[in-house]
Amino acid sequence: MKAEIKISMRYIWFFMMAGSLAILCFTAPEKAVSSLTGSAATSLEISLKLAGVYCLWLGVINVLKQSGAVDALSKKMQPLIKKLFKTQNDETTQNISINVSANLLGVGNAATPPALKAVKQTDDGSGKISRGAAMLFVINSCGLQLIPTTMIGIRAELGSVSPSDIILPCILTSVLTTAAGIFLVCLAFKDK
Amino acid sequence: MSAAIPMVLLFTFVYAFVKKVNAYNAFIDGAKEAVPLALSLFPYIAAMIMAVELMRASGFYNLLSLAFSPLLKLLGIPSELTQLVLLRPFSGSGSLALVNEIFLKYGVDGYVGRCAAVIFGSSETVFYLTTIYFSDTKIKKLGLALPIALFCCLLSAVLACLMCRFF
Repeated sequence: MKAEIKISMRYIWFFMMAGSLAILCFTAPEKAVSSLTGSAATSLEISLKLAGVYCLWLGVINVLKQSGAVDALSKKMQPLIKKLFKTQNDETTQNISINVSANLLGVGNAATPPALKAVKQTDDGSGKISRGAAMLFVINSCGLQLIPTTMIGIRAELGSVSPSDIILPCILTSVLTTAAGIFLVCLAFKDK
Repeated sequence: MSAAIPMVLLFTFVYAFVKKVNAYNAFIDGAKEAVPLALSLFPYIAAMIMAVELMRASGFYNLLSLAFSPLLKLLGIPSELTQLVLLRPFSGSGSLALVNEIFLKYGVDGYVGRCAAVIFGSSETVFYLTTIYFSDTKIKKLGLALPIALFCCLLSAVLACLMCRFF
């Protein structure tokens, strides 16, 4: 367990790019540049769409903040958040409670901006991830949500007999996965 | 069920009105952050999408799927789903398209189709989160956080295929 596990974006990205380019050089070198420029353009499109979606949710979240609704919500969730994330900071607690609620509601795009803020607030400048940030990252990675709306919608469209019969397996799977994630973070990041 | 989000939005505005908060100004203030945030995420999104697209174009993905298929089968994941399980942590839109293909090919209500739906519905785009969550911080060392997140991603696929046998 003590052996250093070198899994970071640096190596993963290198592996993806170098592996693909090596293959393309021998099979279809003409595809490489067109595929890269095409997907770079797509990324800009996605970022612009994201700006629109963030506009909606950051606006709505700020309305909820100004009216005191976020405050009330985070007071309710505070004991749990304190235990899981080991944070005392009120603002961080607020951001985490928005993140978790938005995830449960299945609005991933509303969950991202507050998560970024919370991660930034836990950053102590040492370059190492804090326990709170690790916990937030892992919980978000586990995709906990109450109702998998996207999937139910698509299944209904394609004529499923009962499109929502995946709710139970989805909830069971994500609850168990999240529990495992929380447990592993607690093991790996001992309290300081 | 589909009314959940509109209800939250309605609550947002009614609650602000009752509390005598200027929802219009508050919305504008919050929304101001949107474009700078999305722009700051752009290079991270671009790097990831370019790599994913390149892997698809080169056939690297198919190669990896062939290599991983026996291992995933051992864990109870049918080989029809190998590509989805591999792509899920990298690309949300890509794996959504793949789920659609699986639905059309194997049926929405069959075992494989339901597994695909549960895998998609109960997991996240882990590498996308990895690139953006720490984009605005000095955090460089993720420790075991990424291995744990990836383990959870695999676990959710295994559990999804298991759950679909019973429910």
